[in-house]
Amino acid sequence: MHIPDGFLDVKTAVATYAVSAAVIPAAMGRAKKTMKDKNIPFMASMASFVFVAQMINFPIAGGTSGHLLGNVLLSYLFGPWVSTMIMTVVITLQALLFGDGGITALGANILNMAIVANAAGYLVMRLCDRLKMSRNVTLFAASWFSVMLAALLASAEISFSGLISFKVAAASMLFWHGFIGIGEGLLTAVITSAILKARPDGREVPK
Amino acid sequence: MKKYLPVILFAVIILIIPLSSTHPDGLERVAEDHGFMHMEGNGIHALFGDYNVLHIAGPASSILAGVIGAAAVYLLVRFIFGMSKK
Repeated sequence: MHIPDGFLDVKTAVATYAVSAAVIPAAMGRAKKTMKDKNIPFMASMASFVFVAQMINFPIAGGTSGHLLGNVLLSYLFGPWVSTMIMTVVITLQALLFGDGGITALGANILNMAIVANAAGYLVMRLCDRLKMSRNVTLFAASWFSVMLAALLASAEISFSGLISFKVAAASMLFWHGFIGIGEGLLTAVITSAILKARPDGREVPK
Repeated sequence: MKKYLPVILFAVIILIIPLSSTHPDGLERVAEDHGFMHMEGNGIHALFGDYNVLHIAGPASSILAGVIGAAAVYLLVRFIFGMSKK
């Protein structure tokens, strides 16, 4: 879902940069307060894991592919603020070093995939916790919604930029990302279980 | 064995990088279907554009790009969180 250079017009690029630039320092402040210092190497390892996992596109229906985002995996383990910061680092390096996602679209990509996807996933996770859903159901639902919200926001940005109408953008983006979100949900549930088997104390977030 | 599960998982995903699907992703698909894929700009010339390392051919190129990226992410996250240690 990385928006390349050229898709967004100036006002959309500037506006999304402004929002991301305002949120990230605040998220860093909260991350600092909530994280456990001894877990920094574990966080960094999970960050590089998410980076590599994002490189692997899995095929979905109709000659289209998707890849893991990883917000819910990270926020389940470390909380939403640390997760937003890790996702921001991953997306920024992808744009700067690997040409994945445009430099002019970096603000939008951070907003979609590190901030909004992350917040959506976290809120759904909280809701599922409250409804006493099992861990796998919680992770799956939160992951699916995180992808869908990011796709919805990307649709809005594309239409604000005058490329296509919001209705058309949202319908087609949500159609494909509905499938990609299933992949995100399954991968998140499986990977989180594997991590927690190895590190039963890996989850540092109080419920 | 359980302890090494994440390490094994990590090794596996690095090795399967070359198997990554080359189909368009969700956004690219929408851009193709609605005729705005051509708007994509060249942007900057990224050092490891398209997750490839220059002068290296075949699957090794994307695997190496993955290792380089993983190391860069690891160091940057350690640095950023390390700076703000309590």
